Amino acid sequence: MATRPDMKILVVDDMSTMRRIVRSIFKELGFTDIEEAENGSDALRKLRGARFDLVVSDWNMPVMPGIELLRNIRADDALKHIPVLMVTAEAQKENLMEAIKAGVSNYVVKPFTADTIKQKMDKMFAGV
Amino acid sequence: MSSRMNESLQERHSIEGSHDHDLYTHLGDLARYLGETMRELATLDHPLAVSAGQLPRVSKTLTELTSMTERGTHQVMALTEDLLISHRQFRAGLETIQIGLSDTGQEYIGVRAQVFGLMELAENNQKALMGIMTALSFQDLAGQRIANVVMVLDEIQARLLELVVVFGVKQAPRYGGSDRVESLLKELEQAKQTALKQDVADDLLREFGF
Repeated sequence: MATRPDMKILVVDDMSTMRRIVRSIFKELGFTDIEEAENGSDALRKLRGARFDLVVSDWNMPVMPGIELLRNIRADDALKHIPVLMVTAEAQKENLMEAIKAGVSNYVVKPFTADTIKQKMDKMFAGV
Repeated sequence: MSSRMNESLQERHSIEGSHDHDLYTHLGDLARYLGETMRELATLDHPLAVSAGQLPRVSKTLTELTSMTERGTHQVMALTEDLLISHRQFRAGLETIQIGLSDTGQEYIGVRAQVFGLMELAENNQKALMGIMTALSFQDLAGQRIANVVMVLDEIQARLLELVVVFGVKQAPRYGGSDRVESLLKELEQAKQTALKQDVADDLLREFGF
């Protein structure tokens, strides 16, 4: 399945500047239906309230970190099919292994460029 | 035990006691120095103070520094987004001119070349604008590092104060018994879950003679 411009994307990050950056990048890549959440808990509530095609989540967040959000998504029959792209400053191998074990679809380390996001999107949706 | 041995033991205890006392003094001085440094750092930016009577701790100042950079970053982002929007319109205008030139059936070689050159420039500018947007992620990375520094400072302060209490009780039992000290220790224990209040730290140090 390829990406579609009308895909509904949920951007999860506690920093408003990062949410705005990720939103801008996706807009630049042609996606317009983008919603935001401030942490994993807020994201889960939104995911359970509407249909989303992709989750882009930070790792370090208060209330519920990204890895816990990922585990919750994968444990929920109604959500587990949604691709999750983890965007994080944590470049440690252990974090990456933890995310892979939890079922992450792909992983981007900050700071990143629009090209990096595009490459990851192409890979994720080529494999779906 | 011989009197000589007794004297030797007393001398040893006296030396150990003196070492403990030195250590205790150094710890107290260090805790006081940390508190004063935090206060000085906090006063570097007076408008950040919540009230004149209560100076913010350095962790609060650092957190507010993150908010300041967040606000500044949003301003730059808003301007960059405005430029991106007008740039898309500019590119769309150039594309319309290009199509218009094709529709006339005329060569217009020089004009076509100009338009092509402008289209390339526009594309480069758009890439640069997106580069500015993504480069602003420094704010998030800096914010995370500041949060780590705040956590470490809080931890150091709490541990130093714990040591002051432990050594204070050992050195001079009169410090350890009061209800006030007990209550301060409870606050110190609670502060491990949240940020330590400056007045709790100051009160505790005062109780222990610093």
